[in-house]
Amino acid sequence: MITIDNVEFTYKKNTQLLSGLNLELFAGHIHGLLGKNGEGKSTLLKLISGLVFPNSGVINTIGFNPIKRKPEMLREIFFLPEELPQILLTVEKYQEIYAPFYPNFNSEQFDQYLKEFEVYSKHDKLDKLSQGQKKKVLIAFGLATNTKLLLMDEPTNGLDIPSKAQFRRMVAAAITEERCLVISTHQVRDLDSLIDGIIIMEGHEIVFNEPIENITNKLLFKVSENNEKDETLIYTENTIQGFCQVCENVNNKDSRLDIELLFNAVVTDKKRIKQLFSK
Amino acid sequence: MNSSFSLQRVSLLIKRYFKENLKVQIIIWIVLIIAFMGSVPFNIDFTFVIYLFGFMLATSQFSIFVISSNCINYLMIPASMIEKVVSSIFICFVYYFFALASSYIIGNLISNVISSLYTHTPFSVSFDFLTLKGMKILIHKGEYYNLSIWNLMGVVSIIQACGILVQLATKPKTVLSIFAGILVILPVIFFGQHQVWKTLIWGENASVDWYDRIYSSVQTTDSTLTLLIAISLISAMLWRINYSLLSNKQL
Repeated sequence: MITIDNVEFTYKKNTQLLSGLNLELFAGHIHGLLGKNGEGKSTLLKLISGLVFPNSGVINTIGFNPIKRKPEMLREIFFLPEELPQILLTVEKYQEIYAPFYPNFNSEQFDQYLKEFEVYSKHDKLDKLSQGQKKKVLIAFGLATNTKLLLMDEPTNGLDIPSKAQFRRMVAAAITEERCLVISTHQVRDLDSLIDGIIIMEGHEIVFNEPIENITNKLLFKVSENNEKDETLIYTENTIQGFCQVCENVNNKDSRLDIELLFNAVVTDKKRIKQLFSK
Repeated sequence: MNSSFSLQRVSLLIKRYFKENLKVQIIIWIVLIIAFMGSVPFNIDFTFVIYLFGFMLATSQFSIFVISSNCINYLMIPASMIEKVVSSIFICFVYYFFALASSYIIGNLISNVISSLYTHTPFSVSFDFLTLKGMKILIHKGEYYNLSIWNLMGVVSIIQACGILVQLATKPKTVLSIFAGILVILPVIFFGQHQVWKTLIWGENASVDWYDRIYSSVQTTDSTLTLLIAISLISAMLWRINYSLLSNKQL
């Protein structure tokens, strides 16, 4: 679905933002893109969608070179930016104008998603809605476009707690064999039990890209009363519940993935994690 | 569906522009109608309104680039760049002339109806705004002056290119392009509406030899043809620049 081969990108001269970037994303998956502020998560989404051009390297987005911005590619991509655009239209008019550009747009799905998000009136102007409500409309629209690729930059920012749960349910239901979703976020807990692949960016490069299954096969997430340090321990965090630890899963035990803990472990000891996953 | 050009997508883009800018368009129409209402009975020169309207249309096309999220929204619309440029040209030219001609007729009609009510005379409406030679506009002293369509096309395409550059390019480039744009626009306006400028600058009965000489040389058939070809080429070149600018636009 997406291949990125040795891509370099700079916004200004002498300040390299992304270097030697390699990535392959497949259809039928929801990928979580994690990283600290300024690591280039949004830029990576923009590179995939052709909003910025790489200085070198090759990007293939659903079979197209994204910098050409061909209509055949654009009608199969929906990009939800972190900052929402100013839209001086009602929800109904927005649908009337933008839906015809997407051949697989489904009006019934759109209405259903709006209902689930508790957006009942399509006669309200989008710019008069709260940021959260406006985001719900655009998420519902994006899901209803049925594009092959859905890129979401911080989609849960501004959503209230019940809406975050609804978002997870709707996204999980919207994924198909032909569809690929990439969600970039800081709020790792919002992706809990939603994503099936984790990409972590650190130091302007992708340091981790693994499916959830692989992660729980190779790593053990546990809470321990004592801060026992053995050879398998990779990362430990002192919390109210006890010591949250990430260890090597030498005995093939089952454990529940803690995305936040995984992220901290990767950022703290990326060399060891890399070695472990390259075995 | 054609990969890079589809009339259906162009019409969708035009529809999108008008739906999103409906309020602005209503205000523009009201201003134009009022201006043309006043131009006939009061002999007021509202030629500048025509240029102002062209400028507003050209810049409103690309004001979306000021805000990054609006820019993402525009660039991600599933249409090719050529379709986006063609829809913009349609709005800046076809719609531009339609709006000017219609508002002129409506403005005339309203002012004639009002004046006939007061003077109890039958009213007549001028429909000769658009002629084969160009646009006729009634200005000072109730005289008609031709305002060439070519003249306007050149001016609007320059404004359009400047409008895109203002939004997209860096500051020095923008200043340079606006300056270059003004340099090109000025002579077009200056000689395109000979009598208006002459009256404005030197007075009604002034005789300015050098200006009259240049004007009369422009008026010969060969020179006029050359001017038309030159303006057409400039317009085409600027549209091509607009296309390149939009295609290479990054966030």
